[in-house]
Amino acid sequence: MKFKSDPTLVDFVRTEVAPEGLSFKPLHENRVAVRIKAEDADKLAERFISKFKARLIHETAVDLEGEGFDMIYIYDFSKVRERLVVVLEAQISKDDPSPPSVAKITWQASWAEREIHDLLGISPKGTPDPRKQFLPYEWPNAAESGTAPPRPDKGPSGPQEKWIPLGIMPNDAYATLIPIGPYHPGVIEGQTVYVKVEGETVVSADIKTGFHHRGIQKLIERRGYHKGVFAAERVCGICSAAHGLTYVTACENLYEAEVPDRALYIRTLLLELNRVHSHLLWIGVVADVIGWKTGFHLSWGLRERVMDIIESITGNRVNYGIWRIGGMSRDVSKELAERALPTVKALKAEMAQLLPAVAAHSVVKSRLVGVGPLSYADAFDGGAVGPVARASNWKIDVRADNPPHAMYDPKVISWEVITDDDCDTFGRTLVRVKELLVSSDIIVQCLEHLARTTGEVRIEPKVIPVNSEGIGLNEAPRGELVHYVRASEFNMNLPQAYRIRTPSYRNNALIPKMLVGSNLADVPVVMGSTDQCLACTDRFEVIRESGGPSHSMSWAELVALGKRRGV
Amino acid sequence: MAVNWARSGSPWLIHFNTGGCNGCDIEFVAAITPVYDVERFGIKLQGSPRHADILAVTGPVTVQIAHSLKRVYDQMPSPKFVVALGTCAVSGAPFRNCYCVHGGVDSVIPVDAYVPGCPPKPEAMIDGIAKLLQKIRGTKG
Repeated sequence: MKFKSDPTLVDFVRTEVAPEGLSFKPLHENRVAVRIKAEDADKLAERFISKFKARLIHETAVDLEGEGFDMIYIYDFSKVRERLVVVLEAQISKDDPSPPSVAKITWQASWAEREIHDLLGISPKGTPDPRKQFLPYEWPNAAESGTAPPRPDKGPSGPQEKWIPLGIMPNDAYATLIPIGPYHPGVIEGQTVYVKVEGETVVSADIKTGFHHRGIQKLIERRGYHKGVFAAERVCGICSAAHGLTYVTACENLYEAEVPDRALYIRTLLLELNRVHSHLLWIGVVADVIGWKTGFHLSWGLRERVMDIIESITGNRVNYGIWRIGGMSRDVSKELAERALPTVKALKAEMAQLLPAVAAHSVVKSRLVGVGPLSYADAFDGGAVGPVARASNWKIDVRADNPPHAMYDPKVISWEVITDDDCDTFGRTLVRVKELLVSSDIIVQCLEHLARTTGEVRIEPKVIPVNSEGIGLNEAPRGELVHYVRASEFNMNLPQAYRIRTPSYRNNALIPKMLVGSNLADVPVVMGSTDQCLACTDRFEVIRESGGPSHSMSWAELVALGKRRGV
Repeated sequence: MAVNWARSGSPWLIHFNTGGCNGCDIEFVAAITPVYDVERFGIKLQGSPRHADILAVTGPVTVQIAHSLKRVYDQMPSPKFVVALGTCAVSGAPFRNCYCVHGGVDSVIPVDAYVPGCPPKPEAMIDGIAKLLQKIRGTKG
């Protein structure tokens, strides 16, 4: 089953959305690429957001070697036209890489502009925050292009610059700066959150990420399309299904891909199983943070049963390795689907009991209600995605707005978008618990279909044409996930650029906003409430071309190794 | 001998993610939950390095976090042991030689037990830790 593409979209974009465009190119799946002049970027951004209520999905840049950089702005127009995504592209020279800043119009681009400065050395004019994002603050030059453009002497000073040590005279120390991280037992991953407190109340906060900066984007660019599937899954071990699916969707959008219906059902099934396990994991982690150990063990006990189903389908627990461009590598047999159905139904009944356990638990409520508030306006302006946005009463779900494939059509699989108007951590918990039930409904429908029918699960991919672009959009457990791929002009197997924008990237940027005004003891809960995944946020790495000495084994050595292991 | 025997009966664990993808971390946490129940070996997850005997490290060591790993290791009281969980922690895996990655855990601190896998199953992690306990006890498994 395929989406019908709308042939009038290019005309619509040319006449109404972006008349400044120099050229217009229809991409697959209702996406239109528009080439613009770099100096129009901020003017267009302003019009898109104020007039069309469009949403900036991501801003990034591609290194064109000798020809400069290509700035890429991806906008979501799904509220105007069905599934319309507009990609603005503007070429800038390497001598003066300073396009106008979009972050001064929409704050959501702030992290993205820090990121392209880190990686490529592009410094947008008038960007509100020019500090390093993923590299250490003292890192000398841009990671990918190697150029070192002049940096402004002084950016806006973060709280870490005027901190007051703890041992100062009590009369002067009206505010104390507490660095949390990079290692902190309450937060599994590495990050530093600078929290400035007056007494017990947080007055300002700042977050420095990049401790997980290992750079899968560049790894995928060097590995090629088919090996990239496995690298993409390793962006994040928790939402590996979401990354696998988004990767293959992006690559399939490079050419006229045909994916069998059965493969789409298996993809939906795995994505939802992944969501269930991720949400259960999150409920456990937050229960642990607020000291509700029973909740932790309850939800992780349920999660193990989801993991068993995933393992019986894919053979793996965490990185599934069954995503392929053009389909899936393994089928779900009738017997397996029939065996999994009663388990999922029983699991749903038990998960339904989590809702009253959370919503009516006085201790849970006293730790979560009103903690980490995020109003609808802040969520909209800051670009929150996923359950965080939905808990602020913003009905945003990629599965409804820009579905990765046709199976999320309500006519095929019935499901609904969950929202909540609590606008706090309690609301985020309720949204996730309710989504567990919605996801298990989707899983049941997929399994019933798979048990009923048979068919192919993979069609061999065709040659990927040069000069094509693909965008994969998907709702990961944490929110909207975007993969952008551009095919190389010279090499049929390697992409020219691969860019990932993860949901945690957006939600983590909002953490300082949520922290202000909260109690110091609530800081881990607020940080946890976005289900922050630093591995997703800091996903980059560059492999040095002249790597270390490589070692290859001779056949005799291999045999000897096999004998030693008793193989 | 008796001290080693006693020590191997209640090893307290501290978990450090040095830049991994969370895959090993969730499997490690799963090993603590009742289904795998690592507590039957007397193992307890501990928040502070000053209370811990075993440092369980996951992920390739990034340049930015290397000094924190060293510092946490230095804060642990002797005798201390290190387990590298997952292929990234063992060698750096695909991220080796990245400009931002230092390498495997043993490029920063000494490692006593290696558990390869991407990610290793909780059973494999428990097996690795159990082998380390045998090593502490002074007997070979």
